[in-house]
Order: sequence, then C-alpha cells, then structure tokens
Amino acid sequence: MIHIKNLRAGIDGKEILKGINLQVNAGEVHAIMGPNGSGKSTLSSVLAGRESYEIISGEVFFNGKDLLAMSPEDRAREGLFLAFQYPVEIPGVSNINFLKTALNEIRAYKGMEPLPAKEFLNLVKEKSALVELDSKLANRSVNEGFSGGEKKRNEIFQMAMLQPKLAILDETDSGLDIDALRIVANGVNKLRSKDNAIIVITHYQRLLEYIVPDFVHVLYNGKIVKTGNKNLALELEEKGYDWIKESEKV
Amino acid sequence: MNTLTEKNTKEKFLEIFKNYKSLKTSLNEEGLDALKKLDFPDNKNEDWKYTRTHKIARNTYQIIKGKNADVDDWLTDNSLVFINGFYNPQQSSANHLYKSFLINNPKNTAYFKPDKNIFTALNAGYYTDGLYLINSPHNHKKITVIHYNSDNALANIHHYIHIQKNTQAEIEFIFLSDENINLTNIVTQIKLEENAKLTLNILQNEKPHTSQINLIHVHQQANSEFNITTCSLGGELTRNNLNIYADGQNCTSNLNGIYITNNQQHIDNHTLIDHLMPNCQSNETYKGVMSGKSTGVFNGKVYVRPNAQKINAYQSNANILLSDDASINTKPELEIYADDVKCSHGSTTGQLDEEALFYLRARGIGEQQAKKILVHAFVAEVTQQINDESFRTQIQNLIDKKLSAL
Repeated sequence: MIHIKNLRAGIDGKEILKGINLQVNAGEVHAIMGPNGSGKSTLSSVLAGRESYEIISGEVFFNGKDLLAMSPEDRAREGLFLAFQYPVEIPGVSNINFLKTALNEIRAYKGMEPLPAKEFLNLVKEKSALVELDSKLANRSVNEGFSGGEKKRNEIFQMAMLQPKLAILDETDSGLDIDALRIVANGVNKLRSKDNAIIVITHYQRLLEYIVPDFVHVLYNGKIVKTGNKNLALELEEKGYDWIKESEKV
Repeated sequence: MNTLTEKNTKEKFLEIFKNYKSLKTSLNEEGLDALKKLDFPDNKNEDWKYTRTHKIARNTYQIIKGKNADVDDWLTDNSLVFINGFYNPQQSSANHLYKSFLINNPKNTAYFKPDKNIFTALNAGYYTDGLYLINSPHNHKKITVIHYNSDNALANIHHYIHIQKNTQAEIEFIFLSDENINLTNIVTQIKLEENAKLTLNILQNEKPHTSQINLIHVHQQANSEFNITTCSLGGELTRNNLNIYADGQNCTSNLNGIYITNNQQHIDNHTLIDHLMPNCQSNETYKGVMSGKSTGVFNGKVYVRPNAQKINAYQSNANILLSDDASINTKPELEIYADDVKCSHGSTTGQLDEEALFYLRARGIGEQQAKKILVHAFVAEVTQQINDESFRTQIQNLIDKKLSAL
C-alpha cells in the first residue's frame, strides 16, 4: 500500500523527519505514537502534500506510484485520505456541495461518471449515520460553528464518503470526550477492510483501545525508534515517553 | 506648459461633439457651462488620484449610431436596448416602456448637479438619449436595460428613473461591448418617493478595451428602500460613482458590490451615502478579487448630518489579492455630526486562505476548482443578497468563467 523509504523532510530549513522507514500493507492498521515535537504531524502533512514542507531526501511509494511527485489533489484521487488534526472552517462553502465536488472529481479521475444526485444523498444519509453526525450539519458551511467533536466526526464522515485506500488519522482523538471518541472509533472500525489500511497518529494510548492496531511505532526525534504490537502502546502508557528517550540516549 | 497641454487634450476631445445638435435643455446648458471650468482630472485631484483618466482623454472616440448588437444572450421579453448611447427599438422587446429622456425634460433630482467632474458635465452637455421611466404601479415585471457599445463610440447616456409613491420596481442594467476602444459615460438619476422600493442590479461585462464612467444619483424620500448590487467583471477602466441622499425618515439603503479583475483592469467604486434625516439605515458590502496587474479603488463616504439621529450605518470592504502585482486602495470616509448614531466600517485585504485551499485539495478537488470554490464563498455575502435568481446565476457563471481564465 504505502512504502516510505528513508524519508527526510523539514520546514523553514529545519529538518524534522530524519529518515523514516515504514511499510503499510492492505488490511493493516498502524499506530504511530510519540511525544510532542517528535514529527508526527510533519509526517502526516508531508504524506498529504502540504506545500510548506520541504522534502530533503527519500522516497514514498503509494500503490507503486511516486507519491511525493503528486499534487495534494492527485494523492487524494489515488486514495490517500488525511483526517486533519485541526479541520478548517470554510464559511460560505456548504459541506454537501464540497463533498459532492470532491467525490465527483475523484470519480472523474478514475474515469467514472458523476454520482447521480439521489444516490449521493442516500450515501450521505448512510455515512452520516455511521458517525452519528446530525444530517443538518451536512448542509451547513464546512466545519463552521461545529464543536470540536463534530469537526472530528465530520472528518470520519468524509472518509466514509470518499472510501480511501489509506487513511491517516492525525490526532483524531485530541479534544474528544469519551463518548465522541467511541463514536469516531466505531466509525473507523466499520470502514476497516482487507483492502484498505489505516495509520493512526496519536499521543495517547486511549484511542487504540477502540481502534486496535496491528503495529505500533514510536516516533522520536524524527525517527521510528521502536516497533511492536498493541502491547507496546500499553507499555508506553504505563512508563511514559521518558522511557524511550532514556533508551535512545544510551 | 502643462496647463496648455491639458487644454489641448480637452479641446481635442470636445471636437467629436462639433456636429452635436443640442436640444438646449436646461441640463444641456448646465453641462456646457460646467464644462468651461472643468478639465480631465490629474493625480492632484484627490477624488481621482488612483483613477488615471488621461488615457481616456487622449483616445479618439466617435458619436455613432451602432448596428444591431450581439446581445441575444441577454435579451428578455421585457428589455430595452441602447447601442452606442442610442435607443434601438428593433432589438428591444419593451418598446411600450420607452420614453426618451431627450423629449421629456424633467427637473434635476434633488442634490443633482452636473458640475462635479468633467464626465458628468460632458454627459449633461451632450447626452444622446436615455430612459425617462416613471414606474407604473401595475408593472411588476423586471426591466432589463442593455447598454452595448461598439465601433469606438462614446456613449453619453442619461437615464431618469422615478419610482412613485407606494410602488416598487426591479431593474437590471447590463453593460456589454465589442473589442474596440469604447467609452460609456452614463448618468442615472433616480428618485424614490415615499414608501417606494427599487432594486437595481448592475452587470458591467464589457470587453477589455471599453471603459466606463458611471454616475448613479439617488434621492430617497421617507420610508423608501433602495437596493443596488454592482458586479464589475469586464472593461478596461471602470469608475462607479454612487451617490445616495437619504432625505426622509426610515429610509433603507443597501449598497453591495463585487469586482473581479485581472490583467491591467482598473475598477473604482466611489460611494456616498448622505444621511440627511433621522431613523435611517444603510448597509454597504463591497468585495473584490483581484489578480494580474489589476488595480482597484474603494472609497466609501458616509455622512450623517447634524439632525440625523438614530442612524444605523454599516460599511465593509474586503479584498482578496490573487497575485503579487494586483493592488487595491481602500478608504472609508465617515463624517458624523449627530451623536446618537451607530456607524461601523471595516476593510480587509489578504490572500486566499492557504489552509482552506489545502483542505479542499486534500479531498481531491483540483487547485483551480478549489480556488473557485473559495472565491465564490468569499463573494457569497454579496451574491446571496441578490434575490433575482437568474441574475445571481448569471453572475456566478461569469465569475466562474473569469476565474477559469486566470
């Protein structure tokens, strides 16, 4: 699915990712954990194509294609999805029209006809129920006036609508109370299949109780310093990140 | 030396009127009189500082009746067509509404004087035609007035629109042209009697070598409502002067505008809302999206006279610059002489929200399309106030088309 080889990247001349190696296959869920400033959000931004980041070296292959050479929109059309840590409010752009445009541009890229209006609306109804998103929110401006929880649910709703091959959830748990966390996690779990993959980026183990990962990686100082199974997350929860930092120094 | 050159320019410009047969109306006389004292403005003239008209002054235009114009896309079953400043009955479908301003010779609307600048004086001195429109209480149908300019014409049009007591009207002005170097110099006097309502939607969509100087003078009496939306998309140099005199209690004035510019375009909106009487409200929202090397001006004057208490006046001008070379000069001018009023104004200039742009692209929406979506959202505050759905859709489609070419 995605193969990251020795990726080094930064912003404003400062190197943040210092050689990331990661392979994620179809059907897998990977968690990337790490302390603040370790490069978690930089990794998601670089993969999604945020232009303010500079690639220093390395390669990323997404289904065999050179991901780093693609525009952000082409990455999305190829099946990459980033659930934003801070979803943007876009006043004046209706959530529904935005999604319809996005879905139909992705379909056009694949040589498919636009989805008929009725089918689209049925899909909206079905997928918004998945994350218990009030259908009224779908008609409002993108994220405008949404609560923190509604914004995150809206991200997962969009993921459900666009059916990506690889979803990167960037700190989707931050700012969520326990009920919202459960709803979001349920939504994600329902979207899991043998054909797609998910990268969960998180600071805390809490989300991983609901979205159980196949692999857990610890990102520290721009590198993956430890990889394990779900028990690694529990170990981190118990011992904190200092344990990793200490072992790195040694 | 400089004065001499300017004089020559003016005299040379006026030569095109040598065969003009004046009807010698009082307005003609006022205009010609004012013209003796006025000259083309230079950059020392504060009101025209950023709007360089020297190019217009040096162009050679002609007064010429045009052939039938290419306006089919815009014709309705209730439209009036002016070509090069002359009424064209063949292409008009609402001939029953046409009464010429040349024949009917109304008194000037209150506060209207043609001596403010050379263009208004030229118009008053040499107008070739225009509507004399007294609203009938039985006519509720939208009136479309199409102005088409061609063959290097200078079109001096003078409209007079009178909305009588307790009546309402909906009018749209469409401005189009051919590819030649044309100039439209139009003055519209509007009189709203008590409890009258007028909605005026304007589309300026000329080809890139046509310029336009536009003055709309509005006199509002008590309880009247005036709504105007000016959408400036085309043309080379466009100067809009909109002067509203709210001269009765409980007047409502809504002034909105959109300007989308590229290349070397220049679009200038000078507005004045003069609150002469108490208990009135005015709302003004102008939004600009500028690219290329285009330049823009927004100057919004709000006067509140000493006895005009309980005025609610809101003004905002927001701009998005899509290129490094585009620029806007924006200036609110509030003069408030009453103490119990609410006046607010705000002005912003910035770029498209990069975060929002990335968000849209990250969902698979192409960059051009994403920009369009954000521009539409930016101007939505104005477009959503256009009640006439067909006009709103036309504007949105034209904005789309214009943005596609960027």
